[in-house]
Amino acid sequence: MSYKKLVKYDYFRQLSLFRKYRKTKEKKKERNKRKNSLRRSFETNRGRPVYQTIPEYTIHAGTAFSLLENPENVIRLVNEIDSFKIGDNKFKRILIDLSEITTIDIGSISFLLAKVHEMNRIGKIQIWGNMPKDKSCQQVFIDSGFLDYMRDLSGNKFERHGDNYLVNIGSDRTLNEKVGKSIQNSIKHLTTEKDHFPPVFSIVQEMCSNSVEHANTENIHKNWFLGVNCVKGSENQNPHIIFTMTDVGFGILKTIKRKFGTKIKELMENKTDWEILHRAFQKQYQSKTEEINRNRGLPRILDIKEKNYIKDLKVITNNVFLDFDNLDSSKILSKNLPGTFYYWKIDLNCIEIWNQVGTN
Amino acid sequence: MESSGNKLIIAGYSEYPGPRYCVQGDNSGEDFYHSILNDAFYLAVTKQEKLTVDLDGTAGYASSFLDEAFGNLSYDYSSETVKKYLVIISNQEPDWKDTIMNHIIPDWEQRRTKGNKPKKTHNHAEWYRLENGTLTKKIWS
Repeated sequence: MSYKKLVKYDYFRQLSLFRKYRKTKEKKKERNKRKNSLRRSFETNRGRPVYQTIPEYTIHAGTAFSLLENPENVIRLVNEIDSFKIGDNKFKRILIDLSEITTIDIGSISFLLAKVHEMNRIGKIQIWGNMPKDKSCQQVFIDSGFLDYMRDLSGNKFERHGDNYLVNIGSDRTLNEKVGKSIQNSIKHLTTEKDHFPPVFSIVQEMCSNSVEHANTENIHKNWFLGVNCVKGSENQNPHIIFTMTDVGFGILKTIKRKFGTKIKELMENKTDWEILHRAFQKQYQSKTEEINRNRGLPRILDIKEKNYIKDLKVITNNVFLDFDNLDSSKILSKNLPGTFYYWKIDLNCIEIWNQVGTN
Repeated sequence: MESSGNKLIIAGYSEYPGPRYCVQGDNSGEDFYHSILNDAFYLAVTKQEKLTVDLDGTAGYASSFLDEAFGNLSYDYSSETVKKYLVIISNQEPDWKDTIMNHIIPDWEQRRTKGNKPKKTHNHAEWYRLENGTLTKKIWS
């Protein structure tokens, strides 16, 4: 090897050794950093079990946990759970304390389930809870179908009770077959035979379609739950089925398009938000897409209600509680529900009215 | 899909009809139109016969399913042709017949004259459209 080449070879060798030295030094630096951080963490948490290092928050459900009777309290709880979506990206445990509940309904249970389901999909947030101490509330809770989606502290599934269920029927796509079969099964409670009931399928599809039309990338965690609650007949009431539809999303008021002129006119006429919502069901506004052929979904729901194929329709969305049977009891809520909740009933009378349509 | 002569029974396509667009769920109005209705209506028009579409026997419908299926038909063939060759049977829900014939078809005719193109959420095979009096099959933009 010539002298020149030797010098060049030596230079590159030195360079490579230097790089190796620098790499080793950096690795050592990183290793020490990790070691020190572990040591510090061990010293601060000395004697504590590891799971206690995950921050835990408690949300109290209060006593009146009924979406239809006391919507503000349920909305407060839902919004408190929602607030954990924003903020740091660390693991959290949230305890939902239902122990003090004295009133409960299927609405609050459905919305709680939809919210818990949404949070679980986000990840890094672990939600757990306890049962109501009140025996009747405990029974409503167990019978609702909520526990079908939960596991006990040992990780086992809960035993199934009763005929009621809460069905997760989609996120960004509708699950038509699942909806249809759930309705077919429920009709058995009234007629002893599984059968289609198109008005209910139709309105559930309208609700899902309305929601999926307005889904976007900001709202990827949306999900809908169809609640089916079979109520046995007694001295005071006929056997009936309560349906609920819970949509975690924007809420109807945020998706309707009112022209500027209409807004001004409604402001002058002192129209409240629940009146505006009612007008949306009467096809008084445009769809957000502004296409002429749109905006048939909400009017279709109202049409089915007015023909008495369903009873007792109520809607809670954003800051509005709308009772279609008794508009005077509709009201503005002090809190904003992030989504929409529908409640309605059917009984044998509704099925008879429906069956007469085809024969006329 | 059940089809006897010039009759389409939607329950044969799906017992559980879905939403408006293919991206929103299975058995959508958009899918029904492109996979079945467009071709069936073309055959009826060329044979100068009526096409009967039977809506009965399903679990029910979202209005958006019917709007997208029959609306696209009106857009591609014009409301005049559709009203001439289409017959709707809906004994279970007679309202749908009125909705399709008196609302969906005229609304989409307006869209057609304004050139407000229908949204496609799936790559469909070629389909027929009446343009300048002739039926042409291609992938329309």
